[in-house]
Amino acid sequence: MNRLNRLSRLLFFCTSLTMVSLYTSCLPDDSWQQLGLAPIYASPNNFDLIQSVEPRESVDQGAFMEIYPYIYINDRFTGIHVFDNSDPANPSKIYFWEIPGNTEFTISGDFLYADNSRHLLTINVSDPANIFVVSAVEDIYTPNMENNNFPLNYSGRFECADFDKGIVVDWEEKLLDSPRCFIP
Amino acid sequence: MKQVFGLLMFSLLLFSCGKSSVLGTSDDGEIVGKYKTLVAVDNFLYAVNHTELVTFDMTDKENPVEIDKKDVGVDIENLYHVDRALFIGSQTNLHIYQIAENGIPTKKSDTPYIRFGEEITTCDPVIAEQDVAYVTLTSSFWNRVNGCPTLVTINELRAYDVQDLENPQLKGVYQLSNPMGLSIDGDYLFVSDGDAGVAIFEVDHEGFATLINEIPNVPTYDLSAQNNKLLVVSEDEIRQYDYSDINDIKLFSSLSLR
Repeated sequence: MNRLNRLSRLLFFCTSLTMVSLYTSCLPDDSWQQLGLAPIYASPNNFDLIQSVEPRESVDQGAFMEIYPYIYINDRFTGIHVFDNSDPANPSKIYFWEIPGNTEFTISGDFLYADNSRHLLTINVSDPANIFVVSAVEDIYTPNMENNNFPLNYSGRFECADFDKGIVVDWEEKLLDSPRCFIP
Repeated sequence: MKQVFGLLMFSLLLFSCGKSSVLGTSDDGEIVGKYKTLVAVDNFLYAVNHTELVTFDMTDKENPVEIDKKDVGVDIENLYHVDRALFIGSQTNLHIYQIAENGIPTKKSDTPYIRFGEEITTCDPVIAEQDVAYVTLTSSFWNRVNGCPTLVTINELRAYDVQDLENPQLKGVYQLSNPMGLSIDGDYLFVSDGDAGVAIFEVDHEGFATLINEIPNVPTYDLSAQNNKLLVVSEDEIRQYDYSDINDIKLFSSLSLR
């Protein structure tokens, strides 16, 4: 056969091969592995996770409250930063309250009412250095787009968050099995 | 082609939502930001998730007990209380409830922000003082202009007369850049205007507001004003200002959040 014929056959063969492999990678029973982000879960029922620790950097600033002499600012899905604002010319961060899954809160008297993406927790904050959960009303919050379902500032494949596995508290890079979720 | 366009539009709307908030101040000296969805009023705690308003009895402060749950609407974003009225801002509506003696809220009105025929994704905080509710709307929607799909954006502050909770009346609309959280202290209304800074209005408590000053070019997300001190919160820092002289606002401090 002449050169043009051979070339066109080769082209046709390569194109078909590409198309077949693209097609097969979409088949539900196909599996592959690749590096990407996977959720790190915490149990919404583990109240030992709620604690007051050293101050840290804010990553994803959320809602806030000011009750003299403190300012409280939520860091979405991780907890609440506590500031000493007794002198507004010189505020300082003094604690971070770890509350995995938290995005909403209010403080009334000695108590902090805060969610953990699932339940409404009542937390004794009379001593801001030592906070503890005193009760929980279960299942007030249900999964939705806001529930830390995908990693921030990331594009690529990731393992889809599974509500039944717990609250997503962070993301880690690892070898994923057939990750279906994707951020372009 | 049309389907791709539709899909693109849909994803834009899905991911474009920012926030909305309602404003007011409570009695016991606490200052709240405007993206709150949990509010304590006397012995009751009110919570909104994306579609429901839940009421808890807090007679025992350590053990809230759920006593009521109502479907409010969809895409609820914040909850604000003033004078036993609950103002709930959603992406499309201003919902107003009144709190009865037993703490259970009853629905008073439901005012859509959108006009018939437009599809808006709005992200809007609402705040209120005695008779006026202030809402900031930041929205983008597709409309047809001369037959061509055009992205229209609204960035405005609205004031509604709410003397009659059952019939909110739109009184004023003010154009801003990217309005978000807001706070009122006496005659002054402070509005976070995204990266444009803080816009300061003087209000007449009947729905009219006049822009009288601004703190330009500071990043803002939400703020609180009380006792001549303004706290401005943004992603990277918190700033505090002295507004005892409203025409000469001074910076107290700025602290990085990082």
